[in-house]
Amino acid sequence: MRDEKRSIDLAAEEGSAERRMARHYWFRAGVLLIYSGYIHHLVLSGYLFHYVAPRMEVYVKLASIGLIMAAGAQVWMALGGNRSKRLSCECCEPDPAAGGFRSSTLLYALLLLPIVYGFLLPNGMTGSELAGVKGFSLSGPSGSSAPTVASGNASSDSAGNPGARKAAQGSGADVQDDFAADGYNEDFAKLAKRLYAKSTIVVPEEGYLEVLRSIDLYLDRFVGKRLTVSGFVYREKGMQPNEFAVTRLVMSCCAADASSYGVLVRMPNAADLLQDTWITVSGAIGKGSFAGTPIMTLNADSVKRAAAPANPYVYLYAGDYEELAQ
Amino acid sequence: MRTWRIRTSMPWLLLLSLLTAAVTIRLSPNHRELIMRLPGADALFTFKTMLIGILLEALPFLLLGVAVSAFVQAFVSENTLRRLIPDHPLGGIAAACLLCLLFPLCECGIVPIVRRLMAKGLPVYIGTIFLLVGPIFNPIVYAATMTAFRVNPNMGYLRMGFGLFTGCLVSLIIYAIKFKSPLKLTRAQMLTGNPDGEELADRPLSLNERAAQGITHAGHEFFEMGKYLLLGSVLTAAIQTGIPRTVMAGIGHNPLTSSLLMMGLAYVMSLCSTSDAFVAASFAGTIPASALLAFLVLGPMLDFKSTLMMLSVFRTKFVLLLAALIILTVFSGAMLIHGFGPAFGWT
Repeated sequence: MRDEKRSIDLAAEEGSAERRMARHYWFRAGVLLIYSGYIHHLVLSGYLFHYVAPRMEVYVKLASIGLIMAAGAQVWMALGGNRSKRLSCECCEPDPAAGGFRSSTLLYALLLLPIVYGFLLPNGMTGSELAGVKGFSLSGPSGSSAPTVASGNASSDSAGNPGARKAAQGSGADVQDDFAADGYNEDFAKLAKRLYAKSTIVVPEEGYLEVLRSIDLYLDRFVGKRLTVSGFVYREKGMQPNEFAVTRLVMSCCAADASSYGVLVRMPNAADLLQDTWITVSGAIGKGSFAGTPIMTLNADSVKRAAAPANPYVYLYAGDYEELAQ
Repeated sequence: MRTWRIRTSMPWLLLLSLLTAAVTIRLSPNHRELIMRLPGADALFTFKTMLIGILLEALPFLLLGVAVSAFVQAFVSENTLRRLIPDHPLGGIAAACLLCLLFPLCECGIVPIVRRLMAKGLPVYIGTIFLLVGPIFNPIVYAATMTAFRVNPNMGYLRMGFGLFTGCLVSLIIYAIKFKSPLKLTRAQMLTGNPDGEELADRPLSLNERAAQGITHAGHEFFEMGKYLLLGSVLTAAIQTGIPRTVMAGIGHNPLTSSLLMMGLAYVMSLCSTSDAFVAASFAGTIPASALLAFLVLGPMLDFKSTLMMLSVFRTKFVLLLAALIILTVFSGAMLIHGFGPAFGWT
């Protein structure tokens, strides 16, 4: 019924329909330009890191150029007449409002929702907010660094999976004297060896995860060594009054895969430190457990307030591990 | 006549009122405090951060996919395609897998391209390979998986192998049951629905005409796909805000339930195949490797965002068949890997 009516309308008012379609194309071009402008705004204001990791930034910038080109295509369609002929197929309706008034209004509202949110709400969340929603892991032998099988079937992997066997030893009690590597975690072993030679290990901002992981892998060897690490204070249910985690946010691609990673700190007057305070902690590495899993602990003897960095995230280290221990 | 005018100006009125509201709030000097006072402000923040993150990450790949699709529409003829694809199904599948390796494209970009290729006469089972194997079996995803599982590279090999196996098996089943016309619009409609479409397709088009056709198609397709991507992103962001990951910490060691739960998680989280390995790595040690692999293989092939996009171009029957085959294969594969993996030293 409605379709029929519309087709009659179209036939009767060809010119008016053309104008209406052109308006839709202009509107779409405008929406695309607003999106492109929003990306420019994020890049210029330096807030892009809240949403995507640096390795994705170049693609996002390219996309903003692509959006301008797509807007150009919409303008071209708004200007050009005889749309149905140019399409030469019916996979795409020449009429952008073919779904009817309600569906096109819904579509445009949906298109504008992220932009309205983007401009209305301030950028960024506090570290503890994000850690609470996106998940939090403590540095430790069975944390994200350890192979997946260390707990389940370590006994049945005799057929030859040196990686798993190695790590199973790493989390066990008897560790060989040297930082034995097997080709797979050679990088971590070398890094661990170099870290071990230092009197105090300072966890850098770049390579934060890698340094903590190589300590985790050979945790038993590192017990008693001095470690300095910076991050924000994060507390979770189940932590003792004298415990908190000094934490960094981790992102690999975009905010949806963000997570947080921290070291459990033990100190007498831990309760004085408020959630989300940025600090630098020094102390001796120890071994403990949290919620039944073995973890690394830091028995802190010095805590200094630190300035909150502009970007709370750390990223996977792409460079040479040799430079991490410098 | 009058109602007509109100209807057409509605989008503009909507835009204007939204902009006014946005600017008013934005320009107030203490707008951060103002927003923070809203009920549920932190959930709103989380939602916004997730939504913009997901969108910004997917946008470049959607643009790329639409551009390639427009190129295919304008410059690749049915005959060229027929010549390029081997007649024998196994040869065709092998060639398609090789193409996936050469042209890495994630799930957001592949749907418009496959639709276009299928309309040009690409066999359904070959299209299935592009849809399923493409987002997993490529150098970018391999490198990302190896980085995430740096201490256990077997995960990288297994993911590639398991993904390839699942894709090929589903493709062969689709070949065996001879599934026809998966597209919502028939081939005839897509290519020659226009009265003079037949003529256009036969007559060699000038470069200008081809380019014009390509641009028009890209413009339409971008909005057609974009709205489903957007809807998927909004819902995904809402799900991620609503279910904190800590709730999922209790997935456990049972291979059966953990595999199923991880598959469900992969579906609702709709992560890009280049970043899901890092999320999987954060579960490592608490759940079995087979469940992690189920997560890593199912996610790129089938998730919330891509289901919406597929439903927009493929018939519901085809999407359901594909989903059922993928879920069954991935689940039984994960069970097999759990059972026999240790004997081969895989896990």
